[in-house]
Amino acid sequence: MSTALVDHAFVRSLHSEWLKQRRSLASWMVLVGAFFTPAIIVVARLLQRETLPKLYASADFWPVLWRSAWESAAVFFLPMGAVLATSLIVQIEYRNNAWKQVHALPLGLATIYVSKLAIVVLMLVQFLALFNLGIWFSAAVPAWLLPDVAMPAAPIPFADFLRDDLRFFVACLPIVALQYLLSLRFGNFMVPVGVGFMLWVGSLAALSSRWGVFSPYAYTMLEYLGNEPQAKLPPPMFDIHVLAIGYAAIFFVLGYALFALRKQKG
Amino acid sequence: MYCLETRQLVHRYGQDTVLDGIDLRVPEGGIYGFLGPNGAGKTTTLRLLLGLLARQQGEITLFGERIDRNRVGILRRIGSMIESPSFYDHLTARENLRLLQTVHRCPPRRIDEALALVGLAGAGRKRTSQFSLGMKQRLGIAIALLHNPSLLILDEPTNGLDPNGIVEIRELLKRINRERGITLLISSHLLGEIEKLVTHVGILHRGKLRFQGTIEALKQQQQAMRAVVLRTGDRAATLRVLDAAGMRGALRDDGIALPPMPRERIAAINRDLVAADVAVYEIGLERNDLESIFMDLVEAA
Repeated sequence: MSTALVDHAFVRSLHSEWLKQRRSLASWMVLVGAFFTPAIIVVARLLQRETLPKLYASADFWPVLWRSAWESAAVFFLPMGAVLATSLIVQIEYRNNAWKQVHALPLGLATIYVSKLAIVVLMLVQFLALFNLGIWFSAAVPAWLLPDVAMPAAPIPFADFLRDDLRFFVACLPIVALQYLLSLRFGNFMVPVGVGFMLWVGSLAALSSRWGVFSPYAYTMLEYLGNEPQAKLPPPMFDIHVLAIGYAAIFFVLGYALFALRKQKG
Repeated sequence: MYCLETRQLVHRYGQDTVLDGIDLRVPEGGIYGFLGPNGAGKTTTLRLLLGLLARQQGEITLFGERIDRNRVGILRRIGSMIESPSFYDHLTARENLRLLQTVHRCPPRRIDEALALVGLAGAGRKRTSQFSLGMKQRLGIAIALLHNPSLLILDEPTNGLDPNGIVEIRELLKRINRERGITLLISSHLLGEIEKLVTHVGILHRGKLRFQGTIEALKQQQQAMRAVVLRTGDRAATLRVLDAAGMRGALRDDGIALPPMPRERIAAINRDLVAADVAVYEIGLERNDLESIFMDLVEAA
């Protein structure tokens, strides 16, 4: 990395924000959230050990495991995790009464705004990476513990998994952007979390409606359930990824405008 | 040469005018005590200087540049601690300094130097949530000093410190001013503290700057204005004697106050009182420490 890049205000601010989130509640939540579902899968499989040799020998072992792991993550852990993690990251400043210090640093408003948001996005990437790792462990642990179960011979479809990761990532962006806007605007932690929870519940209820596609909190659920025939969801009127990126861009710009126009900073 | 200047700074919260035409002038290399009772507008002024509050009216110039023209460049040269010190309680003192060192681009050794400077060399690995109020105050000063700024803005820096801590911080601030040439702007309502530390003073009350200048100029201004206080055995008789001499005395808890006068006139009054058989216990001038001067200015407002 060139010296000029390391010295860039945004990179320095990003580094500082990364140091700030270490050992924070949000960072622990990402870690626990990423391994929670894989841990449940391991326990469930160990309890049904007699079915495992056949399951591990099947050609579609990995896609089945992948879908099974993503079920709870797409509907609950990812959207609610995004709501909580975004709010907690911003809350670090409110709880420590540190906004005044952040704004007294030699950093532009846009640098402060984007670097903190970038940390949330990086944590989302971190969650996806750890979750993928957790899914692999949920396959490996029973094979390590049970002598009659061998690691599946079927190859891991890396390209498919990476594509799904990317889609879930994009589907999560509007949640992160709107939660970021709300968390910056309201110092009381309960406001962004409460609003986020209500929007998630509302989106869940609206999934079966043809208008459900317009809810910015619905896309991780639609990403998963859209491929499940038994979910019987109406076909989306628009590409959910385009809508997700559109919403995220709008919330990003609106959030910055509200942040920059605040008369009292810290 | 002024390091910091404001011109006709006005700030309102709704209909309430908190600052009413403030013209601050902080000389380069000086220690400026920004005095005023609670609610006088000190913190509002400091917040405006750092851009934490949107400026409504007036101009702010730091290092010869208007803050709205080069805010980031100016903030690079300022260290600050506004109200209570801010840090991240889930991190250690060293980690708190580390994340700011990254932003300021100062050498990593500055972290140890700053901790040592405020007497926290042994507490770097301790989480700040375990710090006492005094340690937090010291760490706040270490944070403000980390990047070796040209101007240090400290809002009530001795809050929460024990008497020893107050003396130590005062000596530290004097030292950094003397050795590094850092200009200091320190707000306080601890008047005794400011008197022993500052070279210049600004007294703010109800949004207006009542005085601004050197400590010596303030004392000289008030010296000529010191009232004479009489303590006698018979107040009524004393007032009669004063009345006969054409003087009007004001009754106070601690005696009878008279307007400033020459020494000869004081001697004459003493003679009159003795002649009238009034026991004179004490004739003196009013206190002239900063606290009494400050109270005079505030009460006169």
